[in-house]
Amino acid sequence: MPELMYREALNQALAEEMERDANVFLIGEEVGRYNGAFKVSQGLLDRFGSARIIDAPISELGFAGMSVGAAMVGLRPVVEMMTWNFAILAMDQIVNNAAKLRHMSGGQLRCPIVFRGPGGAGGRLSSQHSQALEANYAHFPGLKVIAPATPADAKGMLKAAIRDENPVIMFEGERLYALKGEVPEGEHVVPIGKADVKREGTDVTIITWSRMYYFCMEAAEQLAQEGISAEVLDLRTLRPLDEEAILASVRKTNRVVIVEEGWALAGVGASVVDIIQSKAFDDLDAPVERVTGLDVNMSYAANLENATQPDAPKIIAAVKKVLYREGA
Amino acid sequence: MAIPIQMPSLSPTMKEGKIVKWLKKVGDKVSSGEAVAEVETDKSNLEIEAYDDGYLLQIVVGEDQMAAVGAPIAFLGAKGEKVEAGKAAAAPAPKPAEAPAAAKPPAPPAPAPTPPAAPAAGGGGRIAVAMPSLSPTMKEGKIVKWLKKVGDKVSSGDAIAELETDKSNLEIEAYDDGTLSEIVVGENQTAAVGAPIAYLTGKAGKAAPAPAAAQAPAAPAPAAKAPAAPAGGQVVPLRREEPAVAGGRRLRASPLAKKIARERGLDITQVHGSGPSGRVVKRDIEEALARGVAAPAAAKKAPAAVPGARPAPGVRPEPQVVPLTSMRKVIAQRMTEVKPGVPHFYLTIEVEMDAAVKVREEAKAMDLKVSVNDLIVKAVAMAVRRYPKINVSLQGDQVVQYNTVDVGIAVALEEGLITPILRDADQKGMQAISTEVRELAERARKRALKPDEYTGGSITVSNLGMYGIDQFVAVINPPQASILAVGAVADKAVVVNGQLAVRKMMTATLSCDHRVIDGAIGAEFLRELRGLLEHPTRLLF
Repeated sequence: MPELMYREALNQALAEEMERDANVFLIGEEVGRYNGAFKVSQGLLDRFGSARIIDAPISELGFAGMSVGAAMVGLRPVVEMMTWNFAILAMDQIVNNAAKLRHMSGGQLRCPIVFRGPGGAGGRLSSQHSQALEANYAHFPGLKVIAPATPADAKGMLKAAIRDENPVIMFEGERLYALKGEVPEGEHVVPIGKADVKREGTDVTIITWSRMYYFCMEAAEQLAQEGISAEVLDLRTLRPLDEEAILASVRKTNRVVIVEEGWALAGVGASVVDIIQSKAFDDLDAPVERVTGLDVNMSYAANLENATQPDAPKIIAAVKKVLYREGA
Repeated sequence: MAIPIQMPSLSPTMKEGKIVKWLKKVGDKVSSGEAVAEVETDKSNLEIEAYDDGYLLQIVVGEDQMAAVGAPIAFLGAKGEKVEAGKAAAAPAPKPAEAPAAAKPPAPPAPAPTPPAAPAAGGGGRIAVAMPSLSPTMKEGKIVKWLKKVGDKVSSGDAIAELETDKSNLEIEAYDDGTLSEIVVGENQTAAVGAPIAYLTGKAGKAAPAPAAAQAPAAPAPAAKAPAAPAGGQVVPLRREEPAVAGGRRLRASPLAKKIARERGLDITQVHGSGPSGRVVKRDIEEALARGVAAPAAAKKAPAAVPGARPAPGVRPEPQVVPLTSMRKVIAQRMTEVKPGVPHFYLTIEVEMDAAVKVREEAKAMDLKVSVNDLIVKAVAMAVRRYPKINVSLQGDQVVQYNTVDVGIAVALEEGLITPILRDADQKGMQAISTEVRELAERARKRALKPDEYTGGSITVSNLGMYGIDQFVAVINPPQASILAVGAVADKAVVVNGQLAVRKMMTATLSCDHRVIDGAIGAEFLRELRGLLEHPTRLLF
């Protein structure tokens, strides 16, 4: 299987879907002549032309609304947000239009649209450009929210998103784009709503998604050397949550740590805890621990930025806490 | 207005309780559900919970004092509030008949310009008689018959109505003295536990018609809907959930640990918790299971007079006078009632136990702990299943035919005895019987059994074999109608095929309630029991 970077996997998905369906187009800031701010759309302008690879002005609300209109009349837009921090401007179109058109029209209108771009901290970009905002979108009925961690999942889930009849919000990552992994060629579609056990274990379940997945795998490796067998469950989809997979793993290990880049209050992890406590209460041997971004605005200073985010040592400490091995 | 905390009814036979220890002191803030005191009943030590929020205004019944069920033991109210004179006069009840303070007409503290808000607890001495909780699973009860009518005088302890619950027909007793002023729930009507079924008017009070406000919530409950108890009513809801560990501490355990303990029949209160604040977690349960069932708590030795200690020459030591414990009192009362009240007859058999003893030895070789008594319990359960005519109970003028086989096991305690019930013993395998019997006995010794663990039952097995007793007869434990007294297994010379031989013999004597069981039924049951024990392979089928 060829090894690709995350951005190359996304590029492959886009190209394959545009090849497959003439209604698919890509719009966003610098997606065309500049080949994308993070080079996800490398070569696509040359291949598909400016009618389908559209450079938009710096006007997130405008091109988001235009794309929602295009989706209403039968096209399948992929809207690239340079980062999700900037997409806050477009929330009215995403939340009040894309998420609600099917409902408000009594099912007469559809909105098959993908909004995608990097979320989370990029590295020394300070508070306005470092936010993990997925919990905001996961809140809304009418949207689907995906956050793949690996290149293979990035390709497979973008293809599934483009084929979905509903608006899909896709969180990528500035620090994910250059990561490499094996990616199946051709028709590789990863269904939305299915979590994935990335590493099997018996002592504790670490639940995560997106970039935090890598810290979790690093922690699991180190824990294995201490004889602790950690299962890593990559949610991949944040709405709808894969309850079945969550509960199955909890019932197996009885202890849970949830790792989330965003803030703790009203985070996605809080909802996962709620599912666990209400549906697997009798299977818990310890209160569920969460490792989240600290409840502060992100610093510019690199040392403070690192201290603010979850990392392997923090995850290991949380795992030991739920295993009642504190100080061990 | 000050709210009384009443001595709750914690077992069907409980008439009064002794306060062992107050967990709160006057002035302390108390929340609903919080334990306020430890109480010793005739069966076990339990905690009393507050059902209201407030501050502890006054303790009426001090430590080591007794109070009748339903009598106020303390008062809750607003911070700094004074308890009304009439209530404060309440004294601990040495006898149930003298108990409840509420029966006395409370003197209004001061002529109030506004009418009292809660008539049930206020002037006039009106006392609600609540539907009692007579079994842990009881949600509602049906009045079969009123034994008193409006206008009748009622004394605390009098049976006032016959009640049908999910388990049995029982009598409701008054906890107060007074006159029956109103019947709220008529015959063949149903009321939720805690709902008022009648009102008494206090001794000096007039049997005045009840204020409308108090009548409203007293309507008979539609099935399964429990109306809230009216404010100020004399309502004693019974709720207990988790077993408290010895010493009254709250048990801390993870949900998973509790689940495993429940599934494996392990007494979680006996497991040392290694988690934060002593939380019992999965690994603690696993370790306890690996060690075998949690080790029984060392029996507390009372520093009694040393037997055999020689008195000084010429001095005759005075006898010691010790008041009866609650448990002793109930045993004394019950035995006095049962032995003359239930016509006993006795059937004795000898059983050859060689095969049963061999089963035990084979199990032991496989590291399975099974006692001869466990085999007897199993055999009794199977025999009861095959001869259901023995599985009956006389209650009033009806015979109750049980459809489950629940075997009581007499457990000797330092101050008496109790018979925890092994439910569905005929359905259980030897390993489950062995584990559960040990666990029940252990909690019986710690007096930590819950009421549903020692009430009801089909038959009891009482075994004094370990004391070397060859044979004895036992007193039936109603509502059961029979009891099996088991002696020691001992080598005896017997005649086998005309030859003398040595066999392991055991004598068992069945006491039967002749009102519902006849000699032939008892004899058939014993023949079956003997067959099962002499050919234990049959226990498998």
